[in-house]
This record gives sequence, C-alpha cells and structure tokens, in this order.
Amino acid sequence: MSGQFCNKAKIMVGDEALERISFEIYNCNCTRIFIIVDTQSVSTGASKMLERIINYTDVTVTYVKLRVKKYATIDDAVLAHKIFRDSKCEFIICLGGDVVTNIAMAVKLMANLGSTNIFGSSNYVAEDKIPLMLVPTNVNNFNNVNFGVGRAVIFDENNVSRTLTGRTLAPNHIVIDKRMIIKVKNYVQDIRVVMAVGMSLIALMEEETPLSAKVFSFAALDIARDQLFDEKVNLKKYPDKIINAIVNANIAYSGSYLNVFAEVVANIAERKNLQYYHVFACMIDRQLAIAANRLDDVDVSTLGIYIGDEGFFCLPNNERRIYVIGVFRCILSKINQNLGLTKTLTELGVTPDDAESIINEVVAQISPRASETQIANVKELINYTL
Amino acid sequence: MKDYFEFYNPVSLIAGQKCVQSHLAAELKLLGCKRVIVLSDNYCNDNGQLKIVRDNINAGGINIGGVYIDIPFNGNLVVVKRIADLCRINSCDSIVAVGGSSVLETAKCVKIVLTQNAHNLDELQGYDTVRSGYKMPMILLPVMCGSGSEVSNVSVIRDRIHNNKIEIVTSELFPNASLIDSQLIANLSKDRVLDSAFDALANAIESVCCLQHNPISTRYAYMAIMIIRDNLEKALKGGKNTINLQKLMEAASLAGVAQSSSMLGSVHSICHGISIILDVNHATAVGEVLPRVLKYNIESSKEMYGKMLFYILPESEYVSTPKEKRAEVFYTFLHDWYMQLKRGIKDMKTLAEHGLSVDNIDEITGKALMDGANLTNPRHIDDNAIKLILTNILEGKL
Repeated sequence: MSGQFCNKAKIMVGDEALERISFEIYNCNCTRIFIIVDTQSVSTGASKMLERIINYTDVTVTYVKLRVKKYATIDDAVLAHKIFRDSKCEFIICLGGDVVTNIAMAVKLMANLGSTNIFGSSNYVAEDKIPLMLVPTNVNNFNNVNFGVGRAVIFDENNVSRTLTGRTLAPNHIVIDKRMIIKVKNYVQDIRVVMAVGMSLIALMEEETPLSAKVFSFAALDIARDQLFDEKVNLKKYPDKIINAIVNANIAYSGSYLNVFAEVVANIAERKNLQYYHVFACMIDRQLAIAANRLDDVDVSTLGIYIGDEGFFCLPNNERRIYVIGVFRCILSKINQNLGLTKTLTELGVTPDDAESIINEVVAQISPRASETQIANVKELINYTL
Repeated sequence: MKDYFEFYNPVSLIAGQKCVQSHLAAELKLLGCKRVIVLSDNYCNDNGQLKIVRDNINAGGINIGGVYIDIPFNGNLVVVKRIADLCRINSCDSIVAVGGSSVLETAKCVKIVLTQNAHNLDELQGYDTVRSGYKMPMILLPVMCGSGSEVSNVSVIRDRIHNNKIEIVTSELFPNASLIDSQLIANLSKDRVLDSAFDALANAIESVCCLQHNPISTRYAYMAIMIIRDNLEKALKGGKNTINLQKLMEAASLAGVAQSSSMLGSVHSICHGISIILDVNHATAVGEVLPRVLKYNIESSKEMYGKMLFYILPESEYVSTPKEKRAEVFYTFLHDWYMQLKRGIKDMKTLAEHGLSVDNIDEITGKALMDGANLTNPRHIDDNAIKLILTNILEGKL
C-alpha cells in the first residue's frame, strides 16, 4: 500500500439518504446554510424536495439558482461566493450536475481562503472551515466528474480551463438518493457504466495506486455488477446505483497518482472539443489491452472471482490477465457498439500530426515523474487508437 | 434500512517503511500545528519508538509542548483528564500519539475532552452523541498490527471505578492522519504479532458479516484478509526484513477502516468481557473466540463465509472446496490455522492459562452481554450462547 490516500467525503447512499441531511448539518453545528442548485434541479422539483427537508430544521437558508452552462466559469463562482459571504453562511449544499458541483467547490475554496483569487492557491490552505455537501442529480461531462475528490475544473476570465486541486476543495458529504437523480435515457446510463467500469480498471492498472484507493475500484465494480452481467437489468431502475459506482470509481481514479490515460483523454477532448466520455469510450479498449500486464497477481485473481467464471482458475497464470481483461473488454465493446461510438481516434478527427503534439503535451504535463515506460505507453496508446 | 448505507473515513493513510521520517513533520506543518503534545507509553519509551517520533518532530522545527508516557494498559479516565490538563497548561494545539491501542484510544479521548470542553467522558459515551467541536489536529502512529485504532472513530477506555469499559463512537474521534511504518514494530514479539494479526482478521471478518456492512467496507475487509493470508506466516518466521510486518500493519489499518464503517459483532463483545475480567489484552482472546462465534453465526452468514474463503485460503484449495462446504471450511480453517501457528511459538499461553475457568465464565458473560457490539452481530446472542462459546474454549472444542 506504500503511499498516501485520503477520502474525506462521507458517502451516504440509499432511499433515506436525503432525510439524514439535517442530522449532518446539526452535527456540524451550522445554522446558516447556502444551497446552490442548477435550474435543471429546480425544474425537476428536486430542489423543492430538498428545501422541504431542510425547512424541518432550525436553520436559515440562502438559495442560489444557477442557469446551467456547458462549463463552470469563474464569474459564476465569484457571484455565488459573494452571496455566500454576504449572507454569512457556514455550510454549502450543492444540488445538481457536474457544472454546479465545480462552482460549489470553487465557492468552498474561496470561503476557506477568504479570497476569490483561487488559481494556484488551493494546495496551500491548511484548514477546511466550510463543510460542502454534494447531492448529485446528474453526470454529463465526465471530464469534470469530481464527486468525492478534491478537484474542480473552472474556466477563467479568458475562457481557459483551469484545474484546481487540494484537500480543502473536497466535499465533506456526498448524498446519493434515487429521488434526486434526474431520469435519463438508457444510453446515458450505458455510458455511465462504461465510465465507472473503465475508471475502476484503469485505477487498478496504474503502478502507484495505493491499496486503499483500489478498494474503491472493487467497490465500484461490485455496485455495477448487475448492470454489467445481467442483460435483463433495466438500467432506468437503478440510476442511483450507477451514480454511486461512478463516485467510487472516481475516488479510485483520482487516487492513482500518475493517471496518464486520464491526461491523454482530457487533452484530446479539449483539443477537439469532444465529450470526455466519447474519447474515453473510444480509447478504453486499447488501454485495457496495453495495461493488462500491469495488473498484479492478486488483483487478477480477485477480478477472476468477481467475474464468477470457475474456468478462470483452470488457466495458467500467464493467460489469466488476458482472459480476465478480455471479459471486461468484450462487455465494454458491446456497450460501445450498441451506443454507436467510434472505435478509432481518426474517426474523431485526430490526425498523426495531432498525435505528436498530444504526446508532447501529456509528457510535459506528467514530467518529471514520467518513466520511460509511461511515455512509451502514451505513444503506443495513441498510435494504436488512431 | 437495508437500502441505505454510509461510509466515512477521512483519515489520511500514509504507509511505507520510514514514512515517519518522510511525512510526520510535513503532515504536522500542513495541518498548521505549532505546539504538539506527544503521548506514548513506557514500552515505546524503552524500545526507541518514542525517540524516533520525537526526533522527527524536532527535525521539522515543530515545538513539543509536552510528553506523557505513563499511559497504562487499557488507559483510564483519570489519565485522560490528567493529559487534557497538561495540554491546556502547556497550550498544545495538536496531538501525536505513538503506541498500541491503549495509547491511541487514550489520545482520542483526550482530543474529545479538549474539543468538546467536556469534564466527564461518561456523558459522551454511545454512538454519535458528540457534535463537531473546534478542530484539534491529531496524528496517530501504531506500534501493533491489530486493532486498527489508528484509523477508526471508536475509543474504548477503561472506567476503573465501575470496572467497565466506556465506548465512544463518533466521527470527531477520527485522526487527521495515520502513519503506518514498520520501523515502529520491528521488535514486536511473535505472540503479539500473531494475536494482533488475528485481531485485525476479526475486525475484517466481522465488518463483512455484521449488520452495518456496505460495499466499500466489505472491499476494505477483503483486502485486509488477503494481505494477512499472504504475510502472517512469513512475518512470524522473522528475520531482519520487516516487509511482511509492514504489510500486516497495513492490513490492520484497512481492517480498521472497514470496522469503523460497519461496526463489529459478538467476537468483540466476548473479547472485551474476557479482557476486563482476566486483565489481558483484548487481542489475546480473539484467536480462540473468533472461529467459535463464526460457527454460532453461520446460519445468517453462510454466503459471506463462502465468499471470504477465497481471500483466506490458497486459491487451489478454495477452488477444490465444494460450494456447500465453503462456509464450514472457513471457520474450521481459521481455528486450525490459529492453533497451528500458536503451537509454533514458544510459551504462548492459552486463554485457560491466562485464567479463564468455569468460575469466571458467568462474570465474563455478564460483561460481554452489556457490550454494544452485540447489537450489530448478525445473529441475536444470549447468555447461554456466550457461556457455550466460553465452555468450548475451555474444553478445546470448536
């Protein structure tokens, strides 16, 4: 396990999760609550339900309703922080998808810092003074998925994407309640399954992932198990399970320090203005094939028992890795095929010229800790997926 | 209730050989600590662990506002009060504790007395009775590989006046960070290694079977069981290489994370009873109690035992065990394994040799029945069941 891992968030999952919010607020000794919601949550009635529950307690509530944009911007964060500060709030609840979540995290950071100048400073804040509770309703743009981790993506005044990281950004609570999750079509659920499973496996394959982060990979796979192996499962019935799997996978994904794959996917998505999940789904099969040999024996064996195929144990050691990863590759490829997602980067508009600069930028991003093998892997991944 | 779960463990878990040197001072600085009280016991003072910790705090340029090493076995309320007063007098803003579970749990109680400004810990006992107080950074460094106290939200401390144990469960007890470093455990005797490892194993197994288990704590537990399987025998064989001890310490922490989320069951309630009456370490009792309680719980936990067998047995043996036999093989294996390892350690006493006898079974049963851990045991347990388990231990029957 050698290494460091911390997950600060209390994960609360289930039908009664929302009703427990009041207890958490009481426990934190807070009476002035700041609720930030997106307009989608208002129109679906989710914010009304949250409001009703909070109103049972003796607290003062300040609401901010944000019109959903494609990305979280610094202007929205500064505006929300001003309202937070002026109303002297002590506790932030964020209800919505990934955009509003990023803004809530930025507000938390500003409140902890006592300043709106947040770019580059998050790592130096020692004290986490303001509790942040996330109540996810949706996951759209997986580039910004940050439930459970201290990472937010905010677009600055020049419309440049800036990543904030640090302990004092991380949420203190994540409340996953089926009633809050916005109903989406089955294909969106399918994409979420691909993301949850893909992120979990990638985290297991990264060389420096601590054991305690790997735990979240396996937990995500356990939660998504029915969706993966039982075709009769109606995904619409279990939106909370899938979001829960994504939260767990995301914690594991972010716990793998040098997640080169994540950097490559983010780079291409931004460069070509594509959805993160689209690039992820296109590249995941090749990455699993390349990185399969990095899985350690114990994880291979654990995945073997997970897929529940007794035949796995008859295989010689050297074939097990390929077999077990092969099972996951088959499932994910089938989902991708049904979704009609492309299989090559060329189809997404990436050219060999792009490949060269992607490699350079990603290597620069992860340097100086990038090893020769990692650089070779980036090259292999991009060239093969082209 | 079955459709709801919570998982919470905000402790920054830092593990690796010599991580005390590389991380302790940095972590204290990150937490904004300026004046630290260091808590430990005579064992760590005599064996050099305390020195390692003090040297590294000093090297980081952080003031040590006080050192307290007279923490007795199982701690007690008087000592907690004494240390809290020392912190107040010396204006300490943070706690570093190095030791076994007695030291670590005393440290947690000190923290809660200070942050809640409490005078009587009695008032705080129970589950989640404490609201968030002011923040007092705390870093824990275990010198054992068993209780998982360094990552848990539980503190069990002795009330000598009432000859009882007070149990406090609240998220306010979580330390900010735990440093898991085998240089602090290198000279641990073999019997302590075995008992500690079985204590960790019991934490992991109960967190899978008990009523508050959840998908995340279950995976923590599986991981802990596997690491103990792969490292316990090698660690007992000894040698200068402490890598297996490092792994066992990590497993204990993972099991501690699991149990702090899912709580424990009757293995622990019975062990607490034994610990109070025989005045032995709680871990001393676990190896003999664990398989017998698992046998008692089998009807409600059969499927889980079958799953856990994969993580405790060598793979080939698991595959060749018929599905319907797996649960039974699970607890039988644990019993046989413990006895076999125990026989390999010179002069290691049985519970009977520690004083368990027909004369004190009733008294132990009384203490065990009062323990809150029974509430989350997967099967209701009564005095007859506990007496039968203790009698079987005396008679050497599973």
